[in-house]
Amino acid sequence: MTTIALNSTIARSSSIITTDVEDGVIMLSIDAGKYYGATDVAYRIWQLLETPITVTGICDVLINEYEVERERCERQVMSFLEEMLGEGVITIVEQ
Amino acid sequence: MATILDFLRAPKHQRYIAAEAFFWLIGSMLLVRFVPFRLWARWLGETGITTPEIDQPKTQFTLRRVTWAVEGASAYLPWKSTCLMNALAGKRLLRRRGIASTVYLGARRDHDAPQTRLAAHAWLRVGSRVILGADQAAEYHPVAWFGDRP
Repeated sequence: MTTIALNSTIARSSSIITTDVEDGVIMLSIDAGKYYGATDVAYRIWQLLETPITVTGICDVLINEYEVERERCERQVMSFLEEMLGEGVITIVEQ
Repeated sequence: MATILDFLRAPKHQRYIAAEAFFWLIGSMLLVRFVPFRLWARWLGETGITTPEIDQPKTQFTLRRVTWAVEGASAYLPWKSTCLMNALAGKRLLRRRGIASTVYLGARRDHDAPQTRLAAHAWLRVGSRVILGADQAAEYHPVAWFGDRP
């Protein structure tokens, strides 16, 4: 199982269908046959994934917008992305 | 309860569509419960395609019969037929009669739902009318839709 590194380029999976809702986004994975919802920070990360971006790139933005230290941001973002990767919602473009 | 009695009292020509509805509802239940969605999703229609919102007067009676047959048969089954099972069965009945339709899969925020905090619904539209799953459809955001090519 591939793990996510700071310089991994992450992109949205092409098999995901999304709809913006009032406070975030709702996604359907045809492959997994499941719905996912993202609000708040998760929604912000999803927005940033509109174009392929690295973990470092995501944290660059989040550190500015939220009061969080880089190390903590990196840990939490990587953990969150690992989960999304496991669900097939995102893919790693290049390591 | 009234639905079941109407169903049993139905004239013979209506029993045909009723039997067909039973068949497809049983098939839909097996698919939805036991087969990964991606393997049968195409039976809902083509992803991302919608059908026109124009009503054909000649089909209106058939549409009412399809609603009656699917809702009636599902009330008579020993399991709870879900909106998705009904929409899939309705789609197959319509296709066999040459009527194009669109299945919508939708979701909404549901703070009581465990884990995802989302609730899901499926409904079937022909022309301007939602003929299955209409009751709650307005509360849900359509997320994916599957239609038939002309």
